Amino acid sequence: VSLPDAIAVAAPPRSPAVQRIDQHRGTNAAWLSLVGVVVCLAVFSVFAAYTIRTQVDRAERAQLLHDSYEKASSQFLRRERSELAYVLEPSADRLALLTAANTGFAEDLEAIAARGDPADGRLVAEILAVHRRYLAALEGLITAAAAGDAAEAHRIEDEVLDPIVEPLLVRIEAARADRAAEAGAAFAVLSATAQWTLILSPLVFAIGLALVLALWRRFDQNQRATRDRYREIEDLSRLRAEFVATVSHEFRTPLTGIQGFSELMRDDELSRAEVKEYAADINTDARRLARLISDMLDLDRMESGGMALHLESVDLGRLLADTVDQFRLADEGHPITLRLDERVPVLRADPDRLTQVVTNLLGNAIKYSPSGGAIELQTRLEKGVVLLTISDHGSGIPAEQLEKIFDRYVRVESAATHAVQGTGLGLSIVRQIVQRHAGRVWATSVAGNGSTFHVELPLPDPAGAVSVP
Amino acid sequence: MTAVDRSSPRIARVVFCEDEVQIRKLIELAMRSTTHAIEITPNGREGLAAIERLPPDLIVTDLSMPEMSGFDLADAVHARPPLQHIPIVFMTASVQRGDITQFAAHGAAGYLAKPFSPRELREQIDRLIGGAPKGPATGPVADEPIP
Repeated sequence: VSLPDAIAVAAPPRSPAVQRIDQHRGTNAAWLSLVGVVVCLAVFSVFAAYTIRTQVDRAERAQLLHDSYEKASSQFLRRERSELAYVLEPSADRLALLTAANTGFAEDLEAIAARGDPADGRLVAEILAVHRRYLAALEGLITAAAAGDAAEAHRIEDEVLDPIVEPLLVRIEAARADRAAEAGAAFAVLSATAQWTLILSPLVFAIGLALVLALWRRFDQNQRATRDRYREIEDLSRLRAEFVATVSHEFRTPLTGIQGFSELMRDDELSRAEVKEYAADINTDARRLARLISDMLDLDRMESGGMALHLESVDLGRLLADTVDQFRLADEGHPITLRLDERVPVLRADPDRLTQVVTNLLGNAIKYSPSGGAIELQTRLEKGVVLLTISDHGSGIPAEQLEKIFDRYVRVESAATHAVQGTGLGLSIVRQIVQRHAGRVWATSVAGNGSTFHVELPLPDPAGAVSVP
Repeated sequence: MTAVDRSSPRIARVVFCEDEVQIRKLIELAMRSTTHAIEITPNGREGLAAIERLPPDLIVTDLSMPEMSGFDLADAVHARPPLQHIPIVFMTASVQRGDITQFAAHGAAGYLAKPFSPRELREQIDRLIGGAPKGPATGPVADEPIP
């Protein structure tokens, strides 16, 4: 009886607490990175927006002041014209124009003082002071012009007013030029900032997007890992339950024989031959139980890493010949041929475990060739490895079972192999031993025409050590 | 098909399905002292063939067997109207709570937990074909003193 499902005991997982810490560490790192990316993007945006805003403000203000200075300067020039007009023809209308020009001028200047820097304030204060002096001098001009004394009016204009106004105009012009330069500089910075923002924005956006995507993947991986771990734990507990069921199942079958045959011996009237036969049956089942227990313990030790390999120099050909000799003594129904490749060097291996591999594989070959048939063992030196093949002409293995047979408690059974009594652990042990020797084992088969087991063992490296995982 | 006489012990045909050679032998020996006509097959498929060829009064089958499991055999038997009435006993090495409800779901008339003794096997068979009142699926009586 074999259970259809393979029982494989996976390596014990790390404790749930450790996993939770790991997981949190990963998630926290991912969150931190996400926050970092968002903060960087925000800082970039704020910086770009702030720079643009301040430069726009600066440029606007400089432009405004520049315009005001320009207006003041042109008004001063205009005022000169209205002065001249009044001197040429002193009339009430022209006087009103002259007065209006001076009033508006003062208002504009006050606006500059209100919006500008302290330097602007000082300049405006000076201009206004000069302007007051100018207004006082202008009274003289107006009086002279009104009295018809054009010569005096011209004199006042040329000798009093112009010396007051000229240097002032120069200073206003200088202030205007300064403000024009400032506006130009602000526009230059604005232009550069806008340009760099345009260039960097897609780049920053792309980097940000890539980072967000990467982090998203990280989250997703974390989540998947968590799910996988839960599944693993579920699988493990299911495997454990199945293992317990299988073990109890495997033990109950021989126990049924032992109990049944012993009861027959106790309760029935039996001939001596029958007693002997049933005792032999009990013996078979008891041996099977013993084999089952020792195989189980072996396998458990190997899988939990508790089995240490005692590596020695092993002559594979000699080991095979010795094992085959023992089989030939015990079983005469199966001619065993041994073909050795002379080039195979001495290996570094555990001879007892390697013998166990050969014994299990040879035993299998014999068991699955119930009607006799030759069994061939062959070694071959290949690139970097030694290949050992054991072929029989028995019932063969269905293709879908070729890998499964190495799982625990999986036996190939068919009408031809009903007499086969194994523990279902032999091939699992073989695989464990071969893997511990850093080798591989696999099976090939032609259904109905026998199977071949291939064992590949690494050659010893120059240092003389077999790397054992 | 013969009508089942449930009033007294009699000769009945019993088909067994069991893949373990030792247990097949044990069944054969256990049934030697009875008058029943037995046929022992190594798996569900051959068991079903034997059942269809000559419908038995009782089927006793192992659960996990190659080619066709005991449950598959029971389902196949129940799917065939002329065979539906035949009681089926499952022999199993794992009798746990979940298994017993599964036996009922597959229409078991009874079950035998391994390891079982030849006497338990005979008693279970007699209970089902020998006229004993047919109760719900129950296991064997464990460890009774041998008379």
